[in-house]
Amino acid sequence: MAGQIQRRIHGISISKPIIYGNYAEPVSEKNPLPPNAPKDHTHIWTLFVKDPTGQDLSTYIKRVVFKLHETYPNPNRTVDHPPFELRESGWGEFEVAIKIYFNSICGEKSVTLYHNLKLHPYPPEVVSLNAGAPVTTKEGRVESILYEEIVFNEPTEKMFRLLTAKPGSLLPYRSEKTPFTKEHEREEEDRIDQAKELVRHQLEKRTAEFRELEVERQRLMQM
Amino acid sequence: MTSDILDVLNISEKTRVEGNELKRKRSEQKENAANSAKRQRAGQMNRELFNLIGPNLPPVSVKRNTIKFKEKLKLNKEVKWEWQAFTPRSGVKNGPKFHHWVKTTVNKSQNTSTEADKSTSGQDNLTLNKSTTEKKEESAESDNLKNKYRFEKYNTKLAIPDFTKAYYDENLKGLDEGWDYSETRYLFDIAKLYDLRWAVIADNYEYIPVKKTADSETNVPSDAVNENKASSNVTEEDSKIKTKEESDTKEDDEAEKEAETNAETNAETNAEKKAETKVERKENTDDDTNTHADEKQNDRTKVSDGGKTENEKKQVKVDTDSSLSAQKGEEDQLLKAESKGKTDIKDSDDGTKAQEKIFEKGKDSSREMKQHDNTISDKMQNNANSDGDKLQGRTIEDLKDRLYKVSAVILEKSGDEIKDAALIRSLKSFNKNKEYERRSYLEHLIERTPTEIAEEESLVVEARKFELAAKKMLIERAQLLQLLDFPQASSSVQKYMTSQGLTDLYNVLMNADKSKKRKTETPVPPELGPSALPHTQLMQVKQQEAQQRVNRKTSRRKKKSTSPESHSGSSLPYDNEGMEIHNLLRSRLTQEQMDVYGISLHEEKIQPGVILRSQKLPSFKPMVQNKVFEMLNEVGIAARPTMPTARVCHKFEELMKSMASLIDLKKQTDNLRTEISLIKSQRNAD
Repeated sequence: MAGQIQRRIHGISISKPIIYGNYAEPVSEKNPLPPNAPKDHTHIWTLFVKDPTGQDLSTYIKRVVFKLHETYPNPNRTVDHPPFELRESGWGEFEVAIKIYFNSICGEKSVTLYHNLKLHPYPPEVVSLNAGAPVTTKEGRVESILYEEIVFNEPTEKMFRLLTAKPGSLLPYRSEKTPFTKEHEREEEDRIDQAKELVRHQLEKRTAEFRELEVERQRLMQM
Repeated sequence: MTSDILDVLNISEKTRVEGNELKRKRSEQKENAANSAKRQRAGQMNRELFNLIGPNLPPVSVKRNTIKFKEKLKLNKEVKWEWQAFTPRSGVKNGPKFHHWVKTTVNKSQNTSTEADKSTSGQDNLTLNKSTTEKKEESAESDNLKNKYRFEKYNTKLAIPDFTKAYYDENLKGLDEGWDYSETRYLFDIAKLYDLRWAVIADNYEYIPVKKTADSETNVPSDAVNENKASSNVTEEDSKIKTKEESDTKEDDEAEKEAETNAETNAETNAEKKAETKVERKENTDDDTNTHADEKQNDRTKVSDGGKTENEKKQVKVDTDSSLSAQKGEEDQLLKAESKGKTDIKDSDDGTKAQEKIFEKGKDSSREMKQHDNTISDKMQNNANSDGDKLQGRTIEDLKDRLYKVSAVILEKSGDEIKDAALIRSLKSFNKNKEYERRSYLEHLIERTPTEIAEEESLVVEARKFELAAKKMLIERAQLLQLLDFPQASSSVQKYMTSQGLTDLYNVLMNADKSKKRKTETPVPPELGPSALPHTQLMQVKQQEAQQRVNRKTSRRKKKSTSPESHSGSSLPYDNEGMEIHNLLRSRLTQEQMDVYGISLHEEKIQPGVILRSQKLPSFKPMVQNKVFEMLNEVGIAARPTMPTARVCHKFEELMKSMASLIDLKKQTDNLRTEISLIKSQRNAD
């Protein structure tokens, strides 16, 4: 990486979708605590970084570092091989910094994602407004998954080759496995469009009102 | 010094024995030396001694105070002071004589200068006026000049326009119904007397309204309430005016020395005429008294008194008339000095003629009066009443108004209209009602209490604060308006809706594209915001692709799959390779395929590197950001899109931006509304 001047391809950018988040399950008989874990831990959770289509991320991602809460022994957990997952136990929620390193031959800097570890299900009204909110799937199992796209602006040539080795950026239209589908995207777009329309109406109304007031002010000033 | 050295040498042997004594001696010697030095230079220190002081200088400079005597007065010469006589108004004959002490030196110089003046002016006069009598007067005048009063030049008079009765009847009668000739005359006289000092004029304005018959100007004193007092006042006033008038004429003459002699002759002729007129007048007044005898039986004696005063008044008028003519004469002289003598004679002739006319008129009128006895008596009663009312009602503004209006008319008709245009305009601009208003305001201002004043001051401070705030707000509003007036993108699209327009655009963009490709290495400043151009270019690229796709459909799949390997193995230079990839992508891939690979093309320069899509959403000022989030919450959209894909993020960004502008607009609208209500409340308060 050092010393080697990376040529970049101008005018294009490549985006790769990823999902990251955590699963959490309360400790039970079926799901016992690991033997060396502290006894007060109530949940077993798994942090992960994945491709939404289930492809191998290791083509361009070299390493993922999960930075846990400082109370954990060795809070910086490095995962060098896929799957980029970390299984741990705990009793509290905290923010995890997920640092993603790319293949060193690509010459790209690392990026950092932030994820709030979720162990408990939240009431639905809160859920609807918070992105990546925990979703209870099975009994007691809590999932909090966020969608993200890593955008390589003007990628280096080598990175470009790696990224285009397999077609993988396209999301499925409909899928049982993942909530992040084209359909979902379309829905979100529609929601935003609706909101935009709403705001545009208000903006127009306000603009008209504003102009009226301005005219009135001018008139008053001239009086 | 040699002796010292010898001493030292001699003593050097002793020093081994008597070191102490030597030391003492040395110190003594030093002391002596120091003393001598002190004696020599009392104020200064020895250099050696000074060096001993070290770095610290003495705080006070040692300097003996020498006694300073007062400077001696420069007595050059004794100045002579003379007891001299002078007349404050050199033009006045038989005026009061005063004496004062004058420095002879100063006086001499002054005298010489005045004499020089006089000699030149005298010569002029001599050449101009060839009559011997005038020469005599000239010499008399020169005597007078010798002890001309130094400060006399400051005794100036205002040039108030004047008028005659005839002139008044002709031009000024219809100006104001509330004023008649005699009162106007009185006003002008008193204005001249007090040099337009309006406060004084208004204070001393005690016009006794006179009964005036329809045609005549033979004025008879009315039976005013305080007749005794009034008559005495009038006489006083008249005498004042009379002297004033006389002096006036003479002073005017003094101001322009060339005219002196003429004025003198005028004065003389006037004096002669007065004597004549007096006789005639008395007859006249006798007539008058007879005619009015029936009506004013109880006031008869007083009427005769009034008649006298009236007579005097008449004289004053005559004086003023003649002075007017004299003034005219002077003006003429200034213009054409040669014809001066003639005009003087003419003036005096005119004066006498006019007076004669007046007397005739008076007689006629007295005759007529007898005929219209009854009607006149009625009229007079009316007049008396109305006059009495008027007298009470004349304010300073009334007086000003009248004088200015009359003056304006006179000046307008005088022929110097262009010269006096500014003056006339200013005279005409006088608005009586405005002045009343102004005065009432001022009175109100004076009558303010301290609390009111304090309140007002605090209000002024408040107002200034408001002004500052308003200024700031206006700037903000202007910025917002500018923001709202950005060009609408939809209008420009319409142009390209037809196929013709589209091909035009296509050609233009192709050319632009080519030139851009050539210059890929040169840094282009990034365009702000999502502009329409790149988007259309993308569309165009798509079109291009669609065309090419048909041709190369077969080879595409193969190349696509092998492209990474082939590139890695190729020996082409990197630069070409990069371009090749770019071109390849442009030519081979459809939008869907690009989607599959997550590739997007953009023309604008972007920061190379890896980013996370959701972290590139726009941010605003903290306050606005919070409000935007609030608003997002209201419409049920999370602060972070759940699926931050390119399209979602683009839309989300737009949404946030429009929300931010909406928030700004809301704020400005509120400001505007409060401002309008403020203005309204102010208007209401007014």
